[in-house]
Amino acid sequence: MTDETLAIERVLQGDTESFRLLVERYEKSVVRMIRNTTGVTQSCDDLAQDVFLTAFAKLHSFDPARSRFSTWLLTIARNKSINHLKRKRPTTRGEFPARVDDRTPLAMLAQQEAFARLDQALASLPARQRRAFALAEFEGLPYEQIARIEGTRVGTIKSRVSRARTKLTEALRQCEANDQ
Amino acid sequence: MKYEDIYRRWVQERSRIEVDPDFAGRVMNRIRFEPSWVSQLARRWARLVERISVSSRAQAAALGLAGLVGLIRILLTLHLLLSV
Repeated sequence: MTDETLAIERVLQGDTESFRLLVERYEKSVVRMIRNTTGVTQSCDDLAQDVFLTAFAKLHSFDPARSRFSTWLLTIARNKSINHLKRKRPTTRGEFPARVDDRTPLAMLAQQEAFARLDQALASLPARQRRAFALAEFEGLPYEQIARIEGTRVGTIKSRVSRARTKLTEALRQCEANDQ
Repeated sequence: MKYEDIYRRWVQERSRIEVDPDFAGRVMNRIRFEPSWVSQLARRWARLVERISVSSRAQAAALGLAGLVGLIRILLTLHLLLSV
């Protein structure tokens, strides 16, 4: 029995504190998924907390025979993201923290512009494509797991990710063409 | 810089994430203090469903109530349609 399964069992038996292990293990994945699929950064933490609260409240319905805990949890995160976007349109992006860079200011500026273009292109993707892309590229999840989270076929996910990549690289090419 | 390189850097950058070091602590606090009313509500609801499922009188009452609500909705719709 893994420490994860053990923690789930303990929580179900009433040991609330065991849930902390699950939160610490998946906090980055959940926050990253919400940030990259909704485009929000300010309320991202609150949404991620809600995901864990829902997971805690519904833990009795989690069936390890049907899916992995991460798949189940990211499905909750997906549903929260969709509901959030229904309630409120995504605001502007570009609030990502700047990192220290040792390259020339000109190269940094060019990169910042390219990143902004990519962020913009990502935000303009249809929600389903954006989610599939974020789970594949930022989370590094296999297509099978993404298909389970999205409740669709693997082929559909492959096609969504491929279309998203094409649109993003196209946006980047346009950015380079404009610079030349 | 080639666009493949920029694209790769961007993916790397967006994959990195800084989570508040006390994130888990805040979640655990909310779990400890917030959900008491939620779990109480869930328990009450489960109890109500259980009572209805074992008692034929409760089932008849629930059915009657649902029928009454349906009838009121139909009457209200008719009233709205006729008053236009």
